[in-house]
Amino acid sequence: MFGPEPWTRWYRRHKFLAIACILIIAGGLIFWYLKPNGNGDAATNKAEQHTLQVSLTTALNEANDKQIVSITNRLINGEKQGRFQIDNATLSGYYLVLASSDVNLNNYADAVTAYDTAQKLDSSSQFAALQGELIAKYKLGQRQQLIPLLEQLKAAAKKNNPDQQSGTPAQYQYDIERLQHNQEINL
Amino acid sequence: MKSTLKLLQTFGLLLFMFVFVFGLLRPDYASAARADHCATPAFNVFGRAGCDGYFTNNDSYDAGSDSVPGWDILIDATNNADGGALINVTTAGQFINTLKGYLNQAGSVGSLSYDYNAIGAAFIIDGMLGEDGGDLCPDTTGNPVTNPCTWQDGVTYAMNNEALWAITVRDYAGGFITGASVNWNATQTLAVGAIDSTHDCGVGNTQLINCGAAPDDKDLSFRRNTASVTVPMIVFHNPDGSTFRIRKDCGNVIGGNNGPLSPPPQPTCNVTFTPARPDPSTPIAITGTVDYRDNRATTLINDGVNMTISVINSGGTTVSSNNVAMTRTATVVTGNYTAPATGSAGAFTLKASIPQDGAIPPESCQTTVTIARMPYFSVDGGDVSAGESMGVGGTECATRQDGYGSITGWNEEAPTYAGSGTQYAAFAMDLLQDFATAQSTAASAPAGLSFSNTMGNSPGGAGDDTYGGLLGSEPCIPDYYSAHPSNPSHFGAHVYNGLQDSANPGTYKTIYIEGTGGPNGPNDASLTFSGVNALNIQDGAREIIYVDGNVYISKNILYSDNYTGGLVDLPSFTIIARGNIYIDNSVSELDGWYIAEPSSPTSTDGVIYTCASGLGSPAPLDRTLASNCNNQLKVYGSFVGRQIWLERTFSTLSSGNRAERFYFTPETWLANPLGDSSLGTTYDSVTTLPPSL
Repeated sequence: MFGPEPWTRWYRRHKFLAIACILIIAGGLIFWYLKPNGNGDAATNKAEQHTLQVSLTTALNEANDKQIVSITNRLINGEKQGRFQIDNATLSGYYLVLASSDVNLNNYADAVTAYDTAQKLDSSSQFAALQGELIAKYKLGQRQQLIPLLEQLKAAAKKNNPDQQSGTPAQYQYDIERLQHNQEINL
Repeated sequence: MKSTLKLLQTFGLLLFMFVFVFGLLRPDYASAARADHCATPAFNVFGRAGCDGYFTNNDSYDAGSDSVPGWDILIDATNNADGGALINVTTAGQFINTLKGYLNQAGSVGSLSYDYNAIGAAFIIDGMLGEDGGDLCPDTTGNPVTNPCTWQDGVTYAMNNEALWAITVRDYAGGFITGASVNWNATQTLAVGAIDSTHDCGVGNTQLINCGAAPDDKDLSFRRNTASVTVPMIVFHNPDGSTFRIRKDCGNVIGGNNGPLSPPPQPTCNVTFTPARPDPSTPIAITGTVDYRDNRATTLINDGVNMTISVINSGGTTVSSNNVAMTRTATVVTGNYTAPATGSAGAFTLKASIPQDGAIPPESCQTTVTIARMPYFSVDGGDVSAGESMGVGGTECATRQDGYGSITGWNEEAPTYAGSGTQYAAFAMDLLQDFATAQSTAASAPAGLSFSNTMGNSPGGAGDDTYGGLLGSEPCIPDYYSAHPSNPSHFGAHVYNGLQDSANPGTYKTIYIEGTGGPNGPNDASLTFSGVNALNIQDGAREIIYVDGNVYISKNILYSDNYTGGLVDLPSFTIIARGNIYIDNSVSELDGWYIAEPSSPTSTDGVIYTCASGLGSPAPLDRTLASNCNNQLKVYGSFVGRQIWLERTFSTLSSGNRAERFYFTPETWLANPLGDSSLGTTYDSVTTLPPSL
């Protein structure tokens, strides 16, 4: 009735187990503490990501398409490799500017792919992606494939044109009709 | 009734609370929307903060559904009402013409009427030219401050600077500015928050709508986009890495690292001419050079465009002019015109001008040149020196050596060094300026026999017109006057009639003219010559005239040059004046020695003037010299004086005719002119030893 406390009894019975647990926890803590590379890599990656983002801003300001392509590819690859932490909206933006630079560098097929990826990553990029894809496919000479894009743009513009000066439903309809009549459109 | 009233009270309270709460919340919503467009973070483009009007600086943000009423800076009402303003632009010419077309829809400066596209075009043009909103009014009106500024100022500025803007655009497109270029067909995605531009005035789906009466309704500003878009773009790449971006679909200027276009390099224009010192009888070879500093000249100036080169006198009258075809290099156009001699002296303007040719603005420049005769003197067969001390009053070296003693003339300078100079040596305490030595030896001129000739003022040194000098010390000039006879032969003013004695060749005749106060008395003795015919010194005559005063020579004094009797026939004529010697302009030749000594070591006389109108009347040093002293003077002999004023203006450097020419002829020294009794009447022999000075 007045014997040892329960935890004392438990300790006496499982002494080795307790010691093993303490050693494991202590070892883990020491390992965590002595593993600087883990923290160091993260910091390095973060710094690199920041540097690339700053460089991208400069390249965008200078409209330097080759630099834009190079930097966005490094950012995108870094995100794929898990080295960079980039949210989908931002990543979608990178795909958009990458795609536009691809257009400027005459890499139209790559541009179309990048525009598609941008849409998939973030639905708010849809309008800009569709506009870019329209230009890329126009440059590829895919006139009839422009009609579905224009339809999507028209629908988006009807629903909520986020940028009133970038196209109206009437304008898109005008272009659709011209394409349907095998006429040229202005892009 | 009571319950109804209570119900109303309750409803009113609720209504009040609703309004109160809504009132608290509404500004938050409104300010959040404004921040999205105008700040977050704050930005500044064209010298204006976000949403502040470019022209007026008024806050042009309108809350509500019409917060961004005029999305398109330019609308294309013809083609495709909403958008497409610059969509077909792919060249500089199209871009310029499209914007000029829009701009001109406002009319003309002074009678402008509001036009949506015109102020949009002005907004683009002014921004491309780097015109900040705050500078528009002062730059347009010339007034430091004009407040409020209006859209008229913006349009006026664009119209006034349209030519410069067009040239700049062409230079960018043509690759004429290093580091600058244009991409007429760029595609760019503008992210959320990209800085875009808008009209504050509304635009409908297809056409303009009326704008409000408030000044800022007719303004434009920069605002952030709230969604990303992908649009066709015209991108001007500036040399500094910045860009100026314009959306092709709507003409919107995109902010963010947007820099104004670098202005085209300003041309430099120069007029050069040869000879460097033209005189009235010299044709002038004029070259006009315009360096555009880019190669627009070779590509844009038409072949038929000439350069006009003119010579204009000081009264503004064009003396001669010619339109000359231009030669071209990569960046430079050059015109050459050899203008005929002006025939007159004075200040002239040499002007080169190129008329406006298309986008190339007119260019002109000019320089002034003084055209004047450059009369000069030379010495043959002898040396020249300046700055020596002189013996006076029986004291050798009585006057101080003159550190400013220089010999100055006009010389053609390199490469021939023709003109003022001496065949042999020249000694000067100061500089030999435009006075060459060793002219008899081309390889040695201009400073081969200059004393000294070792300092840095020789050709290619400190100056191209100084040929030595700065000699440290020179020997003294003897006091010739002190050898006068003891007894004067004449007193006071004396008129010389010619007292040569040819009966006894080689016999010295001495005349001593003293002042009325006796030897070294009041200096009122003088010598003049009677008649106008030349005074011919007879063969064998040896005459020395001492004058305790001034001498005025009004006619030629000549040796015969025909010494049939040999050395004994050599004549000698010497005037030694203790004062000045004045030589009339009509005198064309003087043979003999002419010595002017100062009357005291510190007096300012002892000067020989080669042009004078009478005793004590030297020609003034002004422009009348050109007409009053324009006869040539030849001296076969020597001048000695404290100063020699060579005032003759006969001819000019380019003619090769000297105004004064000195020949140190053999009779000058063979005849023992100063009557040194130790030498006798003839020399036993004469030889020349080096150095030949």
